[in-house]
Amino acid sequence: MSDIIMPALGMAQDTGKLVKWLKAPGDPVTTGDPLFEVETDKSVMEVEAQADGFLTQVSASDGDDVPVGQVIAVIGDTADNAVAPAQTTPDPVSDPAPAPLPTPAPEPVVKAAPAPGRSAAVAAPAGGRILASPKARRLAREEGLVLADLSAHGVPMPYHVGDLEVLRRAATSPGQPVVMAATRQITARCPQHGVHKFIDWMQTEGDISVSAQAIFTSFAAAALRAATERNEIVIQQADGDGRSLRLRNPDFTRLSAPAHETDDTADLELHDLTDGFLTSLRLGDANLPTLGIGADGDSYLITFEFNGAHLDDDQAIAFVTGFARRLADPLYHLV
Amino acid sequence: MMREITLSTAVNEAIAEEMRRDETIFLIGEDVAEAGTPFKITSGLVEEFGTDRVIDTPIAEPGFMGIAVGAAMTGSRPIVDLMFGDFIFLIMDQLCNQAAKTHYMSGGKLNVPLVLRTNMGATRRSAAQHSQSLHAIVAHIPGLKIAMPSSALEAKGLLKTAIRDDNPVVIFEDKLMYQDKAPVPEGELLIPFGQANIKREGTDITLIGTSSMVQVAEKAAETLAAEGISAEVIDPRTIVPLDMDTINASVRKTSRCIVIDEGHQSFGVTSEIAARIMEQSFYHLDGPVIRMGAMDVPIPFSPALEDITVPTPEGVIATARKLMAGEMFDV
Repeated sequence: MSDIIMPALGMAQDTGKLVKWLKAPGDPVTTGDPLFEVETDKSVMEVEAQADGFLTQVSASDGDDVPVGQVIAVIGDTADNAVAPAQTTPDPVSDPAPAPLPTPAPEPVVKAAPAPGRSAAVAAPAGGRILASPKARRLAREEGLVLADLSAHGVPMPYHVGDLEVLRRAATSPGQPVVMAATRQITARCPQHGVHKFIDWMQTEGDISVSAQAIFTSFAAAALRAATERNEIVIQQADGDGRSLRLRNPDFTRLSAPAHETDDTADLELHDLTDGFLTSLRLGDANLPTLGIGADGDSYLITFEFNGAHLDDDQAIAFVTGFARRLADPLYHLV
Repeated sequence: MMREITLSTAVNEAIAEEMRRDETIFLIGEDVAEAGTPFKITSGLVEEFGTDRVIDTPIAEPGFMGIAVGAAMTGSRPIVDLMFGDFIFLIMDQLCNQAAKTHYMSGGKLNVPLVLRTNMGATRRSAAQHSQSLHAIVAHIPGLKIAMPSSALEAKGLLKTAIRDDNPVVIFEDKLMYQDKAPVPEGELLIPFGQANIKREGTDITLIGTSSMVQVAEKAAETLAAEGISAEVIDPRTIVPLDMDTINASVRKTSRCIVIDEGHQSFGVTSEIAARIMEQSFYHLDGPVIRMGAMDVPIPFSPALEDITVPTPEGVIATARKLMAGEMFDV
């Protein structure tokens, strides 16, 4: 006899939606067989059997929202009692006080080797297999990282060593809830010509020296202001050497004048990569909306990472579009 | 400033120096004496060493190869010139059944200190029967050592080592590189077998190239460097024996690898090296080991088609970018 519970697939998850059973009540099951599908924030995952036997005492149906930790079936030694008696079936939707989470959590029914302090049950993403490089698997095992958690961070498979950084950062800040809304990413490309021409024009026509960095910061603030209709914009400017500077409303000061420094929380982190070897940043776990500007031949490569807590998708698209448009034609910024 | 000589001069020097050193060495093959081979590699040797030691043969590869194997068993050290690598199919019994196995079959009583010099390489507009790179076929046979020089330096140093080896050695020279120059020091030059050469150091991806594919890998590495991708280029120099220590150390550092060779990709040298890396460094790989060989087609005569049949720097660059980006190679 082995209980089958609704697993916790995310840290901030109370209930799980049983998408559908993959076995019928009374079916024989073998360890490793996919039993049912659960919907999480971002994907549908399969939960596998952890024991041999028969699927019995099924108490949740396809489409039910079931509290995490609740027993929804039992793997029995016989096919008897395939369906749980109706009176004991908790109604997961109307039940105002679902069974409290067992403490400590019962042995999870899904295959997992959770590291201490991490989520108790982690299933493989839909399809069952985690596609990861051998080195990523080895390092994850050595460091106690769970590759399956990457799907909750929106990292697409196959996983490589670079993706582990997302898990390492999540592991080092246990006090903060992991941002379950997946990090989203927008990339854009626009010609550098406009900015260069603009800098030359300022120099020759007005004898005003303007840096590309000042242009990026100012344009980013203006584009973010337009996209979000915020009154105050603070841009954190990273210079690649680990130093950073927070500037308040840099689009309100003249491009040739220094912007006002502030200690206020930043709305956006800006990485100017145009002088280095990097072309784009995809760190995947930005606490701040992060804008990377890299150079590729005659173009700027713009990478913007954000999550739903920062901006909604439309705002983010409007921001990147506005920023790229300003870079492509700086006069757009002035009018 | 070190002098620069062509690969063909390097081979000529190696043969001449060794023949002066050891009078049991002789050169045999089609057009090696008066004509100096179609590639003018052995020109001048017959004038110095005479027709007893620089022997023109009829067009009969199995015959002169058989003569050379017999001579090697009985105290001579023949250097056989096979005009095109494609003709190796004609001498498979003499090479693979006799030369490769005699030491073993005689219980160690007989050696076959023979060097078979031949060539490989496409894009010379020589069509399907004179453009093949068939080194993988003989690399499959235990008892043969296989050297693949990537420049004039290696051509001289590996050939001199081969001539002094008591086992049969097959050297594949790229026929397009005969006029390529490289710095080669004056005087004695021996390059040991089984020691790969790290042509360029890098940290992100290992490019292993043989023969002319070393140049392809180096060109690719240069472009990749400009994109911020640091490629390490390794020339194994001999594929039998193969220096897996150097290859493994590099792959364990970079975690990514592309193996480039001009033989057909299927069942080839790239497959063998990739498989060994997978077996020996599996848990250090951050992506699949990618093979890049010639397409599995007869080498076309059409220049436009021939040029895309073999690996190019552009192809290596595109593959390296894909590997660096962590993309799938599933089709």
